[in-house]
Amino acid sequence: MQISTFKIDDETFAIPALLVEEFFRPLPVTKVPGCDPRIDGLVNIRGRTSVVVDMRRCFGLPSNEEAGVNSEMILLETEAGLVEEAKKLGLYAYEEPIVLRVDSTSPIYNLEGDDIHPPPAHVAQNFIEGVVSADNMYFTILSMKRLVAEILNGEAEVSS
Amino acid sequence: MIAEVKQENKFSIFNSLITNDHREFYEKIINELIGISPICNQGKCTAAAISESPTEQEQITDLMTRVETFAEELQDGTKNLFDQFYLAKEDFCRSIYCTTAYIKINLIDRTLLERTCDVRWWAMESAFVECLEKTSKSSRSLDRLLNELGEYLDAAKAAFEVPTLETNWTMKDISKFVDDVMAFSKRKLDLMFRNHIFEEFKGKVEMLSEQLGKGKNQEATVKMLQKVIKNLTDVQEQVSIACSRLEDIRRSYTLYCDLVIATPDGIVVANANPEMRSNVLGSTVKSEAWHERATDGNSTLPYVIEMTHDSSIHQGNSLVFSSAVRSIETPSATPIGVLGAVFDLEDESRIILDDYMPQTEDHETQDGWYSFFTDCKGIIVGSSDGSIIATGEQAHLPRGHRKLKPGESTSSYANIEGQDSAIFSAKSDGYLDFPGLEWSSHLVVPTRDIFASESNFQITGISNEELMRSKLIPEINKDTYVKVQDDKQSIKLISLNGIVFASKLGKRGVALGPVFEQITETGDFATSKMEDLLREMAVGELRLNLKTLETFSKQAIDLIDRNLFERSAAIRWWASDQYFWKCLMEPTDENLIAAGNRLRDINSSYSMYRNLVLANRMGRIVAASTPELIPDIKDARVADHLWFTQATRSKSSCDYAVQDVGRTDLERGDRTSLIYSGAVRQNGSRNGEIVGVLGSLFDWVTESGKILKTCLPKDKNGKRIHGCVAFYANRDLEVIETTDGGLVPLHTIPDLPTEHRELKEGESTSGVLRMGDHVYIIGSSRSKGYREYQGLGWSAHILRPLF
Repeated sequence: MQISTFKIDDETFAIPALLVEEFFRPLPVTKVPGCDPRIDGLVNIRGRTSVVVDMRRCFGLPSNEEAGVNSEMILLETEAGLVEEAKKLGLYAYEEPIVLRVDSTSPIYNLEGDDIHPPPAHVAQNFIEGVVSADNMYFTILSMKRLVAEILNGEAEVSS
Repeated sequence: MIAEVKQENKFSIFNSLITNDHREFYEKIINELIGISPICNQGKCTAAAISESPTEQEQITDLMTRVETFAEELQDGTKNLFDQFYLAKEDFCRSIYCTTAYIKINLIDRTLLERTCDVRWWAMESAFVECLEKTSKSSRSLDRLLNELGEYLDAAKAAFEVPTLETNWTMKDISKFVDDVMAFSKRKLDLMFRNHIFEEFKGKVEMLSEQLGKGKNQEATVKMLQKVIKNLTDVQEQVSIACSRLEDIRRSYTLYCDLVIATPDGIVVANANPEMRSNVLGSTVKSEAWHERATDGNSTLPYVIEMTHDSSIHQGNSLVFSSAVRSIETPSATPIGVLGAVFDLEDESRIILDDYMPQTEDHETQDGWYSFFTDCKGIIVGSSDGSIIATGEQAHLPRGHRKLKPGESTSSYANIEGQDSAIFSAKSDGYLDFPGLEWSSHLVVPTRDIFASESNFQITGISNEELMRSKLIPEINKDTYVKVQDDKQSIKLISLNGIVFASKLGKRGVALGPVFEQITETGDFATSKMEDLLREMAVGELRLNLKTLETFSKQAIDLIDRNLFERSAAIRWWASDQYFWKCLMEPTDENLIAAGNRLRDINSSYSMYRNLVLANRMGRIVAASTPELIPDIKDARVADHLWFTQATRSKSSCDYAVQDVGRTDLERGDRTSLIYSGAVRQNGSRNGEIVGVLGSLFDWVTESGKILKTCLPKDKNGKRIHGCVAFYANRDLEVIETTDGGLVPLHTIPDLPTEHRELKEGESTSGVLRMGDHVYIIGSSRSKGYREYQGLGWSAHILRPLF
């Protein structure tokens, strides 16, 4: 499996590359009043409306704009768009298109083995699925399922 | 000597000025980028091989085309970047080196202006007027006396023709003595001005007188001889007084080779340099321009400056300042003589020309760097290296450098002595009311030094990102930096999307993997190289800016040192003025008034003094040029003032004392002063007993403020750059004058980096300074004094904000 990595405030996170539809420069975001502060707003990508999740805010950091840090966007595959291999691996995708706003995208790595280790016990982050190693480095895999459940579906805590 | 090289306004990579490092650098980037095209073709072929779907094929082909277009753009970008890099460097060097050339000619102009004031002032010295008047009178009476003497002696000879009973003398015996004396009768000038000839003559006269005494009725002849001797002795006395005064001047102002007083007929009657005296006195300078123009009755010129070659008063090239000496009673009448001052141009040029030149470890100017002055005809009048660019010869300058207007500067590339060089020239525009001599200053810098690589230069105190954002970096570079960052991102995103795309093709996509990897690698390589180049540019920009600040801080300290040298010279000379010692030795009302008037006269000619004060031995002020400035002048006591006590401890009239900038009782309020002082000695003699002290209160605030302002950095259009600060600090690093009291307040000790605090004499340095929220670059120079003026351990600092 390949993982796509990105940076949020000097920390590198990863998601399976098969979940990525496209990487692009930040697009203008239409704010949606009254929604979860972790939701940046909506963007229009080639006619499709996607919801933008601000990853910095998800980790309790000031937004890119507030921090004066550049950002990039990752458009995730929808459930319908997942390729066979992804389905076989049991990867989760939401039905609607989601865009993640991250500080910057980083290289794509080949995983040494498909194992995702559980996160260390002391890590109490909600959106973390586990830790993988690639290219002699460790990366934290984000759990899209939990992210969607908490932020988009408004579920406080979801057990996997 | 010099072959002009055509100047190109664009730097192609084939330009000979591009360094080998950069050429290699460029080749690498271009090679990599060229390599992109086959990779993309391979990608397109792979697309056809791995997918039957036209949509997928199109997607891949589209990606590849984007990459190709992008690589082409990058190639152009790289070319432009080099062009930009070299143009920026060229531009900056032009500005900094043209400024340096200008600073040099400006230093000369400033010193020449002082000389024009000197020579006008000295021409009014009463000792010279008296000397000229008396020698002229003596000369006329000598003509008559020597004539008459001839007759007397002829008569004496005749008288001796008849041997008398009393003596055994014959005409033959006496005629030898008479002839000996008569041999001098046509050598009036020698007798008047050549001491050894006069002494010889005196001997002969004595011998003749003795012989005549043995004859009869020769008393009248002997008396006549005595008259001649008396007259000549008087002349010698006057000459010696004048010479001694001239010598006083030369000892106070060390930048003159000699000073002379000449009659309107061009006979030199007095000079300052004792070593030259026997050659110069009595010689004629009538045909020399400096004399001719100064005595021209129709002329109202207050002074004359002439470049002379092999004058009778000085060998070799020299610059002579002259001014007419006029009778005190009838100042409007024809001049009674001329004062000529031979400025030590060679020495002064050497000091200025050697300055601002990079040195080797053995303190020699680096090879290939030359600095020289040319006159209005393009003749070299001073050179930092006479064996290569010889004075007196026509300078081989490119055309544009020969036709400069006053104050204008230019630069071009030329081959000088087989060395590819850049030559920077600036023409004098005079200084204040001194129009200048239409001279130009030229600086030759090896091209390799202008375009030398900056990549090894370590910057401290500032990060690359900060530097890139700073005001120092031209907008065009900032734009390029942003563009490169943008390109870098584009390549990354294209590759990432490609890889994601390939991974979704599963096994089929494996073949595309290496293509995208290669694209990522190449893109990263090219953009990071470009970033390196931009960083190098930024560092170069920073370095040149630092150097500029060093240059300006050095100019600031040099200008003040030179100014204060003049003050220290002036005080020594004035302290020997007869009005002052007469007044102190005999403080009659009349003498006190005369001394006061004299002080006022001086002060009105020299605007840079607040006040001039004369104190007696007890430390009481007896006269002042502007007494109303002093609070309680009647009770003013200066016996415990540093300037007074130090002057009273001086050993000879060559010494002066100085009290550093600070508060003084001689000024009202908080006004600070810099006080120079010289001991007034009995009868004005050089080692005489001290009878009082003359002090000059230099208008420090005004003068130093003026100088600091001229040393603030300017942009390309000559406008002062906003937010810059210049200040002087004393030995203890306390601020004594500043252009911005809000940022760098007076009397505080700014927290400067160690290298700036611990500068040695004559050294300069530069770096980054953080003050509160502000980041500055700073250039500092410490005083090295000027000639025998030691300096006061001060330093000059110039700050320029980065943001």
